[in-house]
Amino acid sequence: MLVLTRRTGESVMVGDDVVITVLEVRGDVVRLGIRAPRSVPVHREEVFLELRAANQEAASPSEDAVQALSRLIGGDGEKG
Amino acid sequence: MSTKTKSAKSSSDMATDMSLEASAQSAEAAAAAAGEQLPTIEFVSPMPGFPGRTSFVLVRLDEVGLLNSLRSVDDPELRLITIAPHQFFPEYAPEIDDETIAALGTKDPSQLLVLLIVTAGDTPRDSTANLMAPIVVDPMTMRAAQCVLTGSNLPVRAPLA
Repeated sequence: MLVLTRRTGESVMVGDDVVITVLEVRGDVVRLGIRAPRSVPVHREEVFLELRAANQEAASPSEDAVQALSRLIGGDGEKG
Repeated sequence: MSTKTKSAKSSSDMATDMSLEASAQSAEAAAAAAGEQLPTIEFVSPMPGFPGRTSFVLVRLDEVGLLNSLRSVDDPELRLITIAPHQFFPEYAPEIDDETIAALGTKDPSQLLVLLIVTAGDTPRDSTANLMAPIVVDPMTMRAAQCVLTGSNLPVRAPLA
């Protein structure tokens, strides 16, 4: 891990297009501003990890599961 | 839709349901075989978990578009099942942020299509939908994004039933 020390108002560049700026430091809490192109998503790490896990879990269900789902959804309009 | 069955479905109902899925699959397969391009949706950035995958095809799995499949063009094994939110979550009204609207090139946000990714459970009633990170599609620009509704406290795994 590369470790850099910054003061409020100073920035770090990641590649050519991503700039991370320390906006404010108050006690334990650091506010960061991030400039990045739209093609580069930026997330809090724990949000990203949870989302990645959920997406991967959802990916490519079995045919049986999909058929079972298609009976539940739309169907006769009565759900339990 | 006129007929309503209460509990057990008749075997002819099951056959109809299975043939809907089969016909959706064969529609995809037939189009592919004929070299036809199903319209492709481009994600502004890849969804977490699927690096590099931005081109997807949306296929209806039922007659009305409540249940859909989003299949990766570059990795045909990769498929996500999505639902339109209103059947199970009629109150769901996510606020799509301006950044996403700009990234999608959207002129009319009221036309945006919101889809929820479904994780199939062992039984359909164990299935869950991701309300925290819906997929938003602009049908005009054919661009999409998985929008993370941070701070909304919406569940990542909301039960369907």
